[in-house]
Amino acid sequence: MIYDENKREIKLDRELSELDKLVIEFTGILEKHVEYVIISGYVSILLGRSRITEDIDIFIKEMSFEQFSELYQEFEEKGFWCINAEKPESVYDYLKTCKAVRFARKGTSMPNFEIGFPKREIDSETFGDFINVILKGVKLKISSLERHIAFKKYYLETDKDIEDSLHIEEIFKGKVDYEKVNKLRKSIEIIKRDEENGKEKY
Amino acid sequence: MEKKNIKEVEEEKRRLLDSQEFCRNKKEKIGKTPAKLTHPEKREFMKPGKTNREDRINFVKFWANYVRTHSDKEWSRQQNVLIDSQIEHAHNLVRKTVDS
Repeated sequence: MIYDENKREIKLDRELSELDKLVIEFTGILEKHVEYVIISGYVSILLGRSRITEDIDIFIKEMSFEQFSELYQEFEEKGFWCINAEKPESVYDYLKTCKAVRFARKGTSMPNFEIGFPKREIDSETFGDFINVILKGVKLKISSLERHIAFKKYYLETDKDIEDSLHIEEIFKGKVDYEKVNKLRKSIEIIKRDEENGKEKY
Repeated sequence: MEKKNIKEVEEEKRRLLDSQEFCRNKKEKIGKTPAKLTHPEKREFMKPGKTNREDRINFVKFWANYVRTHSDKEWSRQQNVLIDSQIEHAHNLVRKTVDS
């Protein structure tokens, strides 16, 4: 695994799991229609964490219904279905009302891809703060290591998330920008305070 | 003491040199000296935790160290056993549901 901070790129020579193959296929469809960034658990798994997951979380940039319909059609043609609703109008409505929707291989519900529009400013910033992972000649966009660590450690905070964060911190010792992590931590603390006060709830 | 023939000595020397080269490469790639891995046959041990939580954290560190000090192919082969078995299990569940 070679991480080039300046190029914001990780070169990975891992053998592909069935999950990796599915992610490559799904994001290959996504990127033809919309910008995306993979966030959360799969980022740690892709980079070696020894655990499994039932979903892959992905932010997509906000898009019009027409654009979404084209994406939806291609998902259907390529053998994926949405497990939240049948009609693209209903799926899009969910997305517009800040709800994530899940796609899986037709006939299955797991593993699935949870895609959503960014809800908060800090989520939108992910599109300007990602890393390309080069894997078998394919490019996968994942959130930056600092963003990944900050969200896992200070927002999600479950044992699993803290362990996901620790894995990344251990793998990239000396390469993580902790000033950036702390800056993100401050923004996260504001969000959490607002959520506790009922100002913001997702 | 058992005497080693020249071939065995050469083989051992080559393995040692390979491992040193590997460690050097890893240091350049990740920017950190890998933990005490100077010989391919030298095992690393995980410190057991006093609690379940501590034990899990120790394992995360132990595995992360393995990932840092071994080739991508080597660690991913082990990781894939875990991931692929879950996907296989999910597919079996779907098959059973369809059959019944």
